[in-house]
Amino acid sequence: MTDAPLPPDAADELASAYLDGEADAAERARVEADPDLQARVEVLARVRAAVQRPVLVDPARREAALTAALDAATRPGGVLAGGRERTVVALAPGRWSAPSPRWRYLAVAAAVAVAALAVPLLSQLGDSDDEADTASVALDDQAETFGSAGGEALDATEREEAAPAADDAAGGAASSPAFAAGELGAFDDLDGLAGAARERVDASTAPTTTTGATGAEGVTSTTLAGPCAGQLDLPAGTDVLLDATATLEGEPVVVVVHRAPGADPQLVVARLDGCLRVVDQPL
Amino acid sequence: MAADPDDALVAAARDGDRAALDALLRRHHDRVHALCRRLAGNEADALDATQEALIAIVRGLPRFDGRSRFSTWVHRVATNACLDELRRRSRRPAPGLPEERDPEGAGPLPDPRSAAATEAVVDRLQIDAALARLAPEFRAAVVLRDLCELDYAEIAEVLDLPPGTVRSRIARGRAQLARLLDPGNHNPRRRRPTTTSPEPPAPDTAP
Repeated sequence: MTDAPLPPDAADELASAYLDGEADAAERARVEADPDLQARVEVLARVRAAVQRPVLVDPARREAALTAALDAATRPGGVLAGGRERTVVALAPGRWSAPSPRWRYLAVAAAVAVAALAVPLLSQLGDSDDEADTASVALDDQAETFGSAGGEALDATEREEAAPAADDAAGGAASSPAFAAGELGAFDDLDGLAGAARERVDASTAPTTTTGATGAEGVTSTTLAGPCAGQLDLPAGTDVLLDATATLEGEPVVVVVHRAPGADPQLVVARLDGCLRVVDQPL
Repeated sequence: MAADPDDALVAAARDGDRAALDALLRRHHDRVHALCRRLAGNEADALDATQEALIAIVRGLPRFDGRSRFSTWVHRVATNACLDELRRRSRRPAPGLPEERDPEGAGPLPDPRSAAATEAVVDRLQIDAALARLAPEFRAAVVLRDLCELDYAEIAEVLDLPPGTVRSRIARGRAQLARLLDPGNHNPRRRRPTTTSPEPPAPDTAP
């Protein structure tokens, strides 16, 4: 039995709900059985991708807006009107049981950066066990600081300091396959970033590549392991071909390429800060 | 259910912790700006609307009751602040060319040899212009869904609407955007060309 044709508005509503994963089982079945509806879903998906184009922020304007808002909070009746100022306190373990994946990623990246700096330093220091032990402890402390505090417990300054550390680690640790694979570089436009992602996917899916944990080396993982793990929804059953970081128009972003069975690879770009999806389009 | 990562910052900020408030606002600023940018259609109005939204969030923080996620509440306050700001400015000329300090439209000048770079800027202007032609209620629903990635239930909470209305508004908004961004694009169900008279489809004049 075939369903009666839908009025145009109803067809749009059904296709739109299907696109958003908000259609029920019967509606999904109807869309999947109707080529016209599937074509409509594709049209609406392109509209969605257009709305999702990156919105850039002028950093100076951001600071001005934040300053004005904080000033408003100090006026009578505002939450800061009492004049108390404290640093952000450590967060209760029960509510902050683990740092977000993004900050775990940054913590590891920072530890690699410290290690990259520590190795030549230690070689200059010679073979003194005491000195080497000291450096080792310092390195452990650094890793512990990032690992235990968690990104959400860091104040704004610490976050800004942690991000370049991660970038340095990613850019400078050429000997570290995990981070070399995870960093695509800086791009002035989306086309350049997409091209680099395409090259990385093509290279990593060649038959000689090895497999790893993140998808950055041609892994057919079904989940994200990078900074936006757990924060970017991908269609069920999709393979993650790339999960890396990059800079797009000055903004740090996470670049994901995924592919559903039988479909072409899809490029997703999200802001590193907040994992807000800004691009979702065919690669 | 996992704890909302904003909860501790909200509690500390409400207790007068300036650093916590700064961190909280910083976490949400870019999302609020993006929302206002797409609702306003131009950077100048978006900056003012973002400013108003952040101040509204700060002022409303003591009244945040925690019944919804903080981020949902932020979207609600920001959407209302942006739409209020736009209503106040409704007598201004419609957005057109990018403004001097518009990081969306101006930015680094595209290499004239780069068709892709030019296309990117044109795309941004087109989506702003197309969104500006939607009724605000449709525009807000589409932006909250596609840019902010809220689900229908959250959008219903933000806009204080039944979920069915949200679903309808998103669909109608997207369909109208599809026609505006690609005038040759029509819902195939709207045209039924016959085999004997393959006339081109008539322009869609639906609102």
